[in-house]
Formats: sequence, structure tokens, C-alpha cells
Amino acid sequence: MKINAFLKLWLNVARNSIAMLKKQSLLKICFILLCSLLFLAVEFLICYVAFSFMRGIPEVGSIIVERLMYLFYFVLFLMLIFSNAIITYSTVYISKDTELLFSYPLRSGAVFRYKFIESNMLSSWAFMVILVPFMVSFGMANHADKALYIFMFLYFIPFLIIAGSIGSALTMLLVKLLPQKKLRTVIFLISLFVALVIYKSIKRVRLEESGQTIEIFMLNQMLPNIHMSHSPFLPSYWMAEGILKASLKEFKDAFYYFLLLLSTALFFTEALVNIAEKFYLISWQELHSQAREKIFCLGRGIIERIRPLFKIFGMDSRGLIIKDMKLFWREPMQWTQFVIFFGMLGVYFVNIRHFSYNMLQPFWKNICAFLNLSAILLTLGSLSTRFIFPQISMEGNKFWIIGLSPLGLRKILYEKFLASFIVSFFITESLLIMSNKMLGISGLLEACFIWVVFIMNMALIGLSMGLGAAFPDFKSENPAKVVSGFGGTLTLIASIGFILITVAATMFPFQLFLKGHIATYMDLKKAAMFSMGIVSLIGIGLCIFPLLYGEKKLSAMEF
Amino acid sequence: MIETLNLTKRFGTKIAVNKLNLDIRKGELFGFLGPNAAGKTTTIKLLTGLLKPTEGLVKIFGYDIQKDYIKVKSRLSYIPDTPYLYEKLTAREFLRFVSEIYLIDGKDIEKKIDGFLEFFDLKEHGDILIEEYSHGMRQKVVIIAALIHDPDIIIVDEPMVGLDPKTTKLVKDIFKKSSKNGKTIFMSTHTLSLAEEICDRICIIDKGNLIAIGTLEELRKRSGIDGRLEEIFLKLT
Repeated sequence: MKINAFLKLWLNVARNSIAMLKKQSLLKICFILLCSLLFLAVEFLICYVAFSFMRGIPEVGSIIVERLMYLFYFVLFLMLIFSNAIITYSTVYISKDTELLFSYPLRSGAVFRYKFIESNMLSSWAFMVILVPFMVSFGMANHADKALYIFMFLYFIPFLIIAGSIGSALTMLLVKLLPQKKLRTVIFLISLFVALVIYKSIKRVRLEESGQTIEIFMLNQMLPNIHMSHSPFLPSYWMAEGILKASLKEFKDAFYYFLLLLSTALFFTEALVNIAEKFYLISWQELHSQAREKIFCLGRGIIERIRPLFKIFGMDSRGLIIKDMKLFWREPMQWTQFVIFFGMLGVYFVNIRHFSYNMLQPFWKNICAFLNLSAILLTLGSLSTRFIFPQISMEGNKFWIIGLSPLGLRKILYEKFLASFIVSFFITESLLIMSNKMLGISGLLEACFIWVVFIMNMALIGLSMGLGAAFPDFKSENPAKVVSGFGGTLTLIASIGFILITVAATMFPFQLFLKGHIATYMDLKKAAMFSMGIVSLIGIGLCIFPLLYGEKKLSAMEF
Repeated sequence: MIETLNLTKRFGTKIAVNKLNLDIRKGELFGFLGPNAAGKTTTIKLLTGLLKPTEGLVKIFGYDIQKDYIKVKSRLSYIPDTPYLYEKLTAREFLRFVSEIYLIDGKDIEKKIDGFLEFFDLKEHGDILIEEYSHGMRQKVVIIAALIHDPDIIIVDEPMVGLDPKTTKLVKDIFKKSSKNGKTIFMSTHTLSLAEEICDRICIIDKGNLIAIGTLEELRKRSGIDGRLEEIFLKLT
């Protein structure tokens, strides 16, 4: 009966949310649906072209695809664990409805099961949506049997549950064992440890030592051969192996991997609920019993010490910047995502020096450099949506404090924009310069990249901040939930769209030059400047108009 | 009905509740008073099993709330000071959800919900999403949710915040009637006039320590003030 109660709760919430959607403008719904479909279609097209291209490469085509699948599911598995661990903390421990549920006669395991499903769905839906075009394009490029799609669908669910169980178990363990103050340090150390393990597990071999052909050697350099991704004990390996077997019509083996995933998912879920039955309520109680003491004995922390640096912004803006920095710093689950994503990129770029980039053909050199730029921009795009978009919403019912202050809404918006821009500009440009140095690219290409990252910081942060102000959700307490709404989805789609356009526009003259369609270096310079002009125009527009729109909507709002 | 034995709660080095010993009887309307940060809400969370005591014990119906929480919570209700409600549910849907959690028979529940909604002047708003409700309306829903399974004990933290005078009167009458019918009510409040008016016994705590406990007359004797509870409270705290 209690399971029924939760089921009805979900159904009612879903039905009412859909009913509320009907009240929204039809144009708005159609627009978001169309944008989403367009985004998925573009993703499918890119993946399809990439898979077809890789399949067509003589000798190494199938090895590339195979390697890519292991690597892709390995990274996806890690990201899902990470995402689940973070969302579990906010959904299972911090969410306000847990107190309500614990005041009812419900077993600890029952509350956990309900919260786990919620957390798992919240962490995984976006991955699922992105995964569908990727997998369908893989099947179509390989002319696979229709059964492959059934297998893919069958694999997804247990795969998501396994990753979710590990992520949730990790959070439960951390919360149980550590007080919140140490939690911040431990999360940071674990992230560092994971990054180091990945870094160390990347095989580094010289060509002369490898005994490989130049093609295989270069492939190894470009697609890092992470040992762990080939471990037969990993669900990501079962998933990749199963899909590859199914694509080769070896359905018996594919079914074996499905059973492996399913049995592991069932075991993990059962084990997790049993652990939760014993430890969830206790760890929840402990988390809500933590010391209420002065954070800093002397009333000064790192942020207070750097307060004078912000004098240039004026006293009122400085107050706002310091407040935002403190809130961000005191929420470890927020900034660890930030650190890990950029940290992983950093580890990857440091590792580039082992890739023997100079041995590559100019065409591949270019591809490599642009892939790195894309990685930085995509990370920037997803993190600006994740962190910048919810900033206004997170002010929530406290908005009256700053909303009524002499600062004014306009200044608040632009201060937040400027502060976010400075931080992300510094991080992304540092990463880019590091990547350029490791790859050894310089001159015109480097100058273009530096300019592109500058423009993209402005555009993506302006877009996220502007749309975040235009479509705020003051009721939500969870930034992940704020992002999953209409405005957040629109921001993500627009960001990715602009990133694709920018990378393509920047790449175009250089590829034309390599293919001999642009004859001289001077012509290349002119063409590159023209591209940069287009990118800059779109970028400035994408920054200014959403900010103005957000400001207008925010001013018209009633609190 | 409710018994605390040397109940202590520490948050780090800060003592929120210090060796609190209470014995609240069946049918008693017990007022729990104290200044801000006195430890009232912490005590309530200990009584409802939401927090675990650092030392001591909470026994309700003779059961340890930490060990036998299902047995206790199925006969207990908690009305928090800042209640959470599912914003995307209507009041009726939320009350149905709570009823199912308490395993109330589906046949009678609709009648019961309708009765309560009517009693609290919410009938015409019963099918509107809670996100549209005012603070007072939300408080009414929480009170109905606390009463719907006919609990033997009601633990309330600031019950009248946001309620209009008519509903305040209704709630007061419900508490008095419930108490007469043998239900135990543990009420934490800052509204001293309310405590003075309806409570059988009053307990005052400050900085986690029990300052005084007894009927209004006993508190008067203890403080040496033959006046209103407000004066007694200010003197003792």
C-alpha cells in the first residue's frame, strides 16, 4: 500500500506538471520541442558521419570504433556515478521532503527507495537523451540488425541503476563517516585520486618500443588506451561488449551481457536498500546534527582575506560578490563538480605531451587541436548552464533582500555576470594555453583560439545569466532541478548550438588551407579574421540580448 | 505517554538540550515555552525521532522512539513550524497520500478528507495545486494531515503562525477537544496567551535547560509573580 502511495504521488505530480504545461504558451512548448528535436537530429547526424567515417578507415576502422565504445561507456559510467553521488546528496539528504517522510511511519529503506529512484532519474535523464542519437547512429552506420536497438534499450536500465547505486552508496558512506566540514576535503581528495588513477592508467609507449604499425600507434595516441575501460569486471565493459556483440549479430553473447548487467543491478539495488535500512536514517540524523559553531574562529577565512581585492567594484557590489563566493564555497557539492570537470580536462591536457602530436599528419593535427578546443567549450557550455543559469533562481525567497537594496536589479545581474566571467575566463584561457603548449600549436591558430575562448566566455555566460533571469524558478531549492526546466534546456541547447557553429566557423578556413583551397598564408589570415568577425558578432549578440531580455523580465517580475 | 530520560543533544560542543526529564501524561495539553534558540525545536525533533539524542532516551507509549519508530510514529502526528508540502499536488491529493502512508481504509478516506476540508474552509480550494496556496492555507493542510489518522499524540511546533483568527479558534477548540478525548498534545509556542489559555501544564526551557514546569498556578508560586504568564516567563528567562 505504501509503494502504491509513492507511485500515486509520482503519477499525480507528473499529471499536474503536464496540466500546468498546458497553461503555458503553445509557441513556447513547440519552440522547445523543436529545438530539442533539432539538437538530437544534429547530434545524430554528427555521430552518424563520424561512425561511418571511422568504419571506412582501412585497417584501423573497426579498432577505433571498438576502442571508442569501451572508452565512451567507461567515461559515461564514471560520470553517471559522479552525477548520482552529487544528486543523491541533495535529493536524499538535503531535500526538505525527507523530514516530512521521516515524520511518517515509514521504514528507512522505503524512504530511501523512493528518494533513490527520484535521484537516479534526475541524474540520468539527460545522459539517456544524449545517448539515444549516439547509439542509433552507431547501429545505422554499422547496418546493424533491429535487435541491436532492443538490446541497447535493455542494457540502459540496469546500467543506469548500477551507476546510480554506486553513486548513492558512495554518498551514504561519506555522509555516514564524515562530518560536513571534512566532507569538503575528502571529496576534493577523492576527485584528485580519481583523476590521478585515470592519468596513470593511460598507457604511454614510444613507437620504437611498441612494435606497432604507425596507424595503430597513432590511434593509441589519439584515443587513450585506458586499461580500466577494458576491465571485464566493469559494467561499462559489459555494456560496450554487449552492444558490439549485438551489432555483430552474436545475440547469445549479447544476451549473456544483458543478464550480467541485470543480475548486478538487482543485487546492487537490493544491497543498497538493505544498507539504507540500517544506515540511512542514522546518517540523515547525523548530518542534521552537525556542529553549529563559528565557521572561522577569528571570523576570517580565505574569502574574507581577499575582500580588499574587490575594492574596485565598489562597496555594494563587493558585498554581493563576497556573498556569492561564500555561498559557493560552503556548498561542496556545487564546486566539486566544477573542479572535477575542469580538473579532468587539465589532467587530459597535461597528458597530451605523450601523444607524439608532431608525428601526426597536418590534417589530424588540426583535428586534434579543434577537438581540444571543443572539449574546453563544451565543458564551459555545460558548466555555465549548470552554475550560472540557476544563480538568480537560487536567490529564491531571499531575493527581496538584494532586490530591494539600492544596488538595483540591473547592477545585481551585471555584477553576477562580470564575476562569473572573470572566474571562467581565467580558468578556460589557462586550460587552452596549456593545451596549446602541450600540442605545440602557435601563431595564427593559437591567436584564434584565445579570441574564440574570450568571446565564448562572454557569450555563454551572458546567455546563461540572461536566460536564468528571464526564466527563474524561485521555488526550487535544487539547482539541478532549476536547470532541467524550460529556460535551462533552452540555454543548454543554444550553448551547444553556438559552440558547434563557432568551432565549425573557426575550423573552416584552416581546413580549406590544408586542402589547398586557400593558397597563401595571407589569404588564410584574412579568412580566419573573417571567421573571427562572424563568431564575435554572434557571440556579442548572444551575450547582450539575453542579458537585456533577462533584465527586462526580472524588472517586470513581482516578488 | 511521552517520557524523556536525561535527554541531551549536542551539536558539536554546543549543548542544545541538556538532561531534560519530562513525563507527559495521557490526555494532557502540554505547553513547551522558551526564548529563541532555547532548544524547543531540537527537543521536538528528538521526540519525533528526527534527531538522535547524544545521551538519554525518548519513550513514547513505552517504546524507545529510536528503536521502535514505526510503532510510535503510526500513532503520532507532527506539525512542524516550517512544513514541507508537495507543491505540485492538490490538498486533496496530498491528504490522500498521507492517508495511504498511515494505511487508512480507502472507502472512508474521501468522506474524511471532505469533512476536514469543509471544516477548515478549504473545500473549494481542495483541488487547486498547493503551490497556489497562501501560508495560512498551507498550515491548514498540514494540520488536517496531522489529524487525518486520528493520532493519540500530536506534537506541534508553533501551530498558529499564519492562521486567521477564525482558524486559530478552530485549532484551539480541536486541541482542547482532543485533549478531553484522551489525546496528548505537546505544543511549542511563543504565543504565551495561547499557552496560558489552553495548556494543562507548561514547561519553560532556556539554553537547553529546564527552568520550570507545572500548572500556571505552580509557575506563579515558583516565580513569585501572581500575574500573567508573560510576566512569569520574562522573569524566569
